[in-house]
Amino acid sequence: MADLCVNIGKIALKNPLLVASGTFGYGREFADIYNLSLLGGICVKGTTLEPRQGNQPPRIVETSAGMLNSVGLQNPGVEKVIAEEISFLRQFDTAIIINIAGHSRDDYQEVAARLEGVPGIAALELNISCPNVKLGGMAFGVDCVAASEIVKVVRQVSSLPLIVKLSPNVTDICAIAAAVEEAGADAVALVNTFLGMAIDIATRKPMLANIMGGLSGPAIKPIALRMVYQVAQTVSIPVIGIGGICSAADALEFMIAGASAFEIGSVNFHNPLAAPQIILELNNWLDQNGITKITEVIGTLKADEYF
Amino acid sequence: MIEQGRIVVNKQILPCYYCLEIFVPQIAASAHAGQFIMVTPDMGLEIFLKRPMSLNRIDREFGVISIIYKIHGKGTKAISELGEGSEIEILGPLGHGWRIVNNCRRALLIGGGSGVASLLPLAADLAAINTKIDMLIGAASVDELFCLEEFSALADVSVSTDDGSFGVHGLISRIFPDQPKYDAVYACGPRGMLKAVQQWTDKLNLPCQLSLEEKMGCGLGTCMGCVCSVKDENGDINYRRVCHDGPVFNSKEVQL
Repeated sequence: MADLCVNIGKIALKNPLLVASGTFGYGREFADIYNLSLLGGICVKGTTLEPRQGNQPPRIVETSAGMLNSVGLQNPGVEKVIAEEISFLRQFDTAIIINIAGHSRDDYQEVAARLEGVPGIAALELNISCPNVKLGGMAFGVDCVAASEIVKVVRQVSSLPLIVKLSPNVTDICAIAAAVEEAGADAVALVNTFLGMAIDIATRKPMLANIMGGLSGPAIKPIALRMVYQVAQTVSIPVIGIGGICSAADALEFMIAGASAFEIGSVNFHNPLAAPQIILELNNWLDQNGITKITEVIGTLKADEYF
Repeated sequence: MIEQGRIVVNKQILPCYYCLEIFVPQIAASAHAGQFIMVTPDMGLEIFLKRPMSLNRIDREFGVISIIYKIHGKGTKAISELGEGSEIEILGPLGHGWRIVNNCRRALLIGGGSGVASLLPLAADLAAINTKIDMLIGAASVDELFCLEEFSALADVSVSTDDGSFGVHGLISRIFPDQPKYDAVYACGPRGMLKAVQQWTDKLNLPCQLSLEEKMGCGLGTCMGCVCSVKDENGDINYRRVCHDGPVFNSKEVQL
């Protein structure tokens, strides 16, 4: 039995597997399938100050080795999340990470302020990268100044570790990562979905009512991995790798590239048992390779082996 | 629950319809009429999402469920190629199915296209409590009519086809009964048909349940991908998950 514990700054995780926001709700549905205490952590559904209805359906379409979604942050609002969802999740021995989003800097700050002091929260994940809402989300994540300001205003009101979830829909993700590190982020998580679209040729209508949506799944993995590698070279805060991870082998690629932990997202739909299976596979791989601690794998890419 | 099942039958029953029977004793034991399962077409990653399929038969004694499906794309094509005897992963039973209303003496079932499938276990449940059942089936043509014999054994069946190749020529609304006296109306089929049923039952003030079909990501209620608009008690319209809050909704609440 290998040691799977990792630290994301001040956050101690029993293993490096987190379930990604938007693919796990607030855990209730998956709690019927397996014990959530197996997980390293849970990033809950993107939570906003007020309840949000989300976008008009259709909101989801399968694409080759992946899917597009344009859910648009449908959620019951922070007060209900505190009253009903965090209290439910607290029963599990796993890190509860609250993903927060907003229309404005003030929104992010207010949501963080309401969550301050609520027991059972391990960290906040600042969603500055949702591609599916016009205001808020990605608008903040594609600009270094705006991204830094979100981190700074949240930092003023929150004592929790801040993870910033980055958008890949930028020219230079390293610049954004460096900016949020400078602004006080404790970790970065990347990547959120890639803005994409699909068309029904019979009707010539977009497959999503929102026209565009976020692409996720194994289709994006090589690009996500490249970005994680580049960001891990740039920042000195921990990096959480996200993007199409479907197996322990995929997860290990991200960790070798420099990720201290990883999130699994749409694979939860492909295979609802993916999370416990990947944790088991990770342990087996470490045992088979005589590695006693998973932390020994992080950032061990032999990039210069070809020279 | 997730159950590793075995395919008992997977065969073409009509030019564009297939029947899949799966041995999944635990799912069969807990399934109800109107619920659905998520089928994994392929264990690889290319076809990424599971496919929702409504239950056409629930045989608790033999632990077998069946679904009727049409090939829409690569997922259902892959399902049609699964051999009898092979293993298949099934997630289910899912969603809230048909609700049998109290003291249901007469019921009207309306099915269009592949939507007919999920009404068969309901007809069986209603027949078991001696409900008198009228059944309307709408199909594109005689080549797309299935389960006619099974329904005929349980209900008084009327049929319409778009091309007139069987029954009344035209849309199913042409065979809506003139003097409807029903304790419940149950409908499953294309959106257009459900709208016609909704308008008709609203006008006559008949209690009606509609089963909706939507593309789904997870089938569990987490992805929020399959929502429809539902009016709550205060008259507010909210998005509800077809997979989790439905697929069966009260016709008075759902906005089509």
